[in-house]
Amino acid sequence: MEAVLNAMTTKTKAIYAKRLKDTDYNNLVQKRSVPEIASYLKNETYFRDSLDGINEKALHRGQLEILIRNDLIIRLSKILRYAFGSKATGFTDTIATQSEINLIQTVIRSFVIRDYDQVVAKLPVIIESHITFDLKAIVACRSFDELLSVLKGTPYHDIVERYAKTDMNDFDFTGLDQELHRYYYQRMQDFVRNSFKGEDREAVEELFNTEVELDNISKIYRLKKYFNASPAIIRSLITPIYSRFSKKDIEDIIEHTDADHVFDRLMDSSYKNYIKEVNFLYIEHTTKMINYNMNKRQILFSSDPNLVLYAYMVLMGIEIENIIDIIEGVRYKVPVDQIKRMLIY
Amino acid sequence: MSIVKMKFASVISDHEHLDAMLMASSRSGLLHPELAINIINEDNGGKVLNEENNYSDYLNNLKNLANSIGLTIKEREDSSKSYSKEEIESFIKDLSKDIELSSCGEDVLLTEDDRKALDKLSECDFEALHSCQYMHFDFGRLPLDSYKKLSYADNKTVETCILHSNSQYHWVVVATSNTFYGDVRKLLNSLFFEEIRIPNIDVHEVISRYEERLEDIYAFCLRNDELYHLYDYVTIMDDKDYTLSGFIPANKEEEYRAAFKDIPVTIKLEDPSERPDLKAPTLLKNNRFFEPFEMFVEMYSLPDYKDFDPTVFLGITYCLLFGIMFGDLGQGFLLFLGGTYLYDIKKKKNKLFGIISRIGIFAMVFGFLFGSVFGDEEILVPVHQTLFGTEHKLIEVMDGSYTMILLGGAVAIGMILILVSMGFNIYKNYKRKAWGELLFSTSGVAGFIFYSYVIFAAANMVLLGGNVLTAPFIIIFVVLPFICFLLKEPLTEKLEGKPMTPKEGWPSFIMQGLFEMIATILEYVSNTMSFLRVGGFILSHAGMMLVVMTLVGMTGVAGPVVFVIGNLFVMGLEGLIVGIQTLRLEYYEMFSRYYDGGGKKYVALASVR
Repeated sequence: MEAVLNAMTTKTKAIYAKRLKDTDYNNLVQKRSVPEIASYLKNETYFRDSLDGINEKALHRGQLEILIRNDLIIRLSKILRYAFGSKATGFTDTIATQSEINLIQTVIRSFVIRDYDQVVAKLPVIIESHITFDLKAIVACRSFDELLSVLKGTPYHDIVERYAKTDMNDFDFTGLDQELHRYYYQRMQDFVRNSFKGEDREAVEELFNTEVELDNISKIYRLKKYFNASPAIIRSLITPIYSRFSKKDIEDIIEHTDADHVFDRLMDSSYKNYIKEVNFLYIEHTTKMINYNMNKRQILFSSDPNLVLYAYMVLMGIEIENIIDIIEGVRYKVPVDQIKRMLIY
Repeated sequence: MSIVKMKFASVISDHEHLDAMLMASSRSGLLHPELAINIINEDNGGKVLNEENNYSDYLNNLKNLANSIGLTIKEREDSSKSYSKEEIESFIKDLSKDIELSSCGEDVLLTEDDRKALDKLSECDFEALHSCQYMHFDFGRLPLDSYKKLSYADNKTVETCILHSNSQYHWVVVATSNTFYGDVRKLLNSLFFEEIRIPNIDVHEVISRYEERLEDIYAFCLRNDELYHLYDYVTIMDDKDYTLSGFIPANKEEEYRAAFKDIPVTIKLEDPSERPDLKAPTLLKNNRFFEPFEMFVEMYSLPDYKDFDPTVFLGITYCLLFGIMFGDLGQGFLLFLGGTYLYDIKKKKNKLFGIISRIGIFAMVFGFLFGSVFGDEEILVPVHQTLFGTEHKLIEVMDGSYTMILLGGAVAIGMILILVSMGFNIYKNYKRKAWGELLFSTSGVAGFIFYSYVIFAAANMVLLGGNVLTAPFIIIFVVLPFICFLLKEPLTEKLEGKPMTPKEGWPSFIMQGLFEMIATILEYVSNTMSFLRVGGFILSHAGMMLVVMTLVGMTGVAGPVVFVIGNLFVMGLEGLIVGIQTLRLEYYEMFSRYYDGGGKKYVALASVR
């Protein structure tokens, strides 16, 4: 099995080699409109197949984003052809979980804004076979009762039930989002624990825990900087998963560190090895950069198929965000150098 | 069997006759044009012709308008008259107004797929769609995944019909009642529906009214659009002389002049040597037998205009080596038959068919000498006995005692070919007056002397038992050439009157040179041994056919079927392998010694209608 799975490493690395490079990013940021970006992606990059046949001039940027995101799922399924029944195939289920959470959040928001078309637009049709509830029924939901009946038998039922209300004016969206996220992280942890063994498991776990920890740091920074949130609120909104910071360190940051020093603490930690130059733009840019460099190191030097695949998915997620940043930047006529600074590659 | 001699032709006209001149030149099909930017320099003060080409836009507009009413424009040779830009613009405006064509985005051009979908929709009659009182119809592109999403939505209020699809979209017509139209439209927008407005016209009436004029204007615009593309080749001299320059075959001079007989132009012809700033294009000319082999030369790189054409040598050696490796009278005959039918009779353009036909002849010749017909090694025995007076066959490929002869023969052929290649290299450098390369390089005179001596010494020792490996011979034929190889660069500099001292200093130069000597010796050995494959493939071909014939014997009544399939299999598999291996020998062992390529292909200006 190990020898067979090496094919998956090779395939992942081969597909990774086709990623967008410096030249592509330099060319993309120079474009002056979304059709030009679509045309470049279609003609000059590996998105060729996914964008083949599009009418660049009429293409909506939202549809372009969907096609790019779908392309990652198609690539994942291509890689998983080499998984030969290994538990790595569960990666698709974790993506489905994320899509399910996004859809549930959209449905609940539609109760407030009364825009049910958005639910139809957000349907994850590309992985519909992995979705655990009835899509046709969820599209028709107009109340919590209907939603709970659709979610019956799924882990989401109990979470949503705890927040269900008839009066949506004081609905606790943050709490629900946080709880759904926690569920996702829990699902990911279970997947890693149950699917992989030994060093393989430890390495994937480390990458995953780091991602969550960096997300926590970003949250702490933002909650302190912009919301002046109390330690109790911060504690309730972060996920209790730790990697390079101990639980004690995080507690210390929550209790005693002001926002500006949160960044200093990050730069004083072992994470500093993953930042080439300290160029603070916004906190997520830094944490994503760290995450990017950690995963890039794994994909370049590791030969472990699951680790390489995990790193690939993270890196490609960041690539998609880069493209979306470029699309938004070009659309709102942000200066080229400013768009470039936002990109992580 | 050469590179066609060229003339540099400049045709000069005034602005009034510019278009006529360009058309005449392109219709002649003789000119390989040079871009104006290549002609212009500070000395001649030429300018580029910068004129905005509106005709591309006109063509697009006309195409879109025609598409929107489901009209396929029939292309004409020429328009019945000339149209001013104002006339064309006014026509487009009138037609657009009648069709009321507009898409969601202002600059959205309709594609071929849009046209197909509109064609299909036009079967419903656009007017009928618009005249419904309680129903509303929308038409456009819906992304595939959006279509799927739509199927999850409440479908009681909307009906869709797919008219056409590609890898990204369904072209759909969406029907809904006026009551639900607002909601449906909102849903469609959130699903990135790209609307194409349904033309609000009687298509047949519009077609009959505009078709004739539209096609005429289209033909006019098409001709002018093509003409505008030729402006890139026009240089303006002294603000009044519009010059089209390029290369024509020297022997077509009169024909080219005749193309301008009714146009007041001045034609100036120069020898390419008078224009060292421009690289003359290469047009190969070979007789019917060798012409297909030009494909292999082009694949590697065309020869420079000033060099020689290697096609004939390549053709002969390719046929010879392939014939030896694929020697079978029957299979060769089939190759010859197939290749000749496709290339010479059916006139297929792919030169590979011509090559197959030619190599088939040589496969037959060597098949006859090896006494092999479709793998049958006995059938020609009586013929050989009668013709050559041999006991059995002339060459017994499968007889162990012949193995070394075959391999030795293959290496001997390789040696001769390498020597001939060196000869070509010497000739090439003589023509270029590159004395250093000619005298001191490993494929020059020094290399030729060394390699011939080694061959002679080896042959003398093996065949006659003699020994010419004595000190004086070794000094003259081995040491001296090696000193030439080693000091090639300084000696070349000396011949050119420059100082001999290498840039990196003598010690470093000598050290580097000594290592290069080792590589040179290995190269001679590996180049020669590379030809062993020729002998190897004779044996492999015979071996594979032996397997086929054994299988034929074992399969009883199914024998003829196995015989046919086996032969076809060997022909396909081995034909391909031998073809590639021979090409490898041509490129690596021979071309690398005498051929540089780097030529520019002669491409005559495409004819403007």
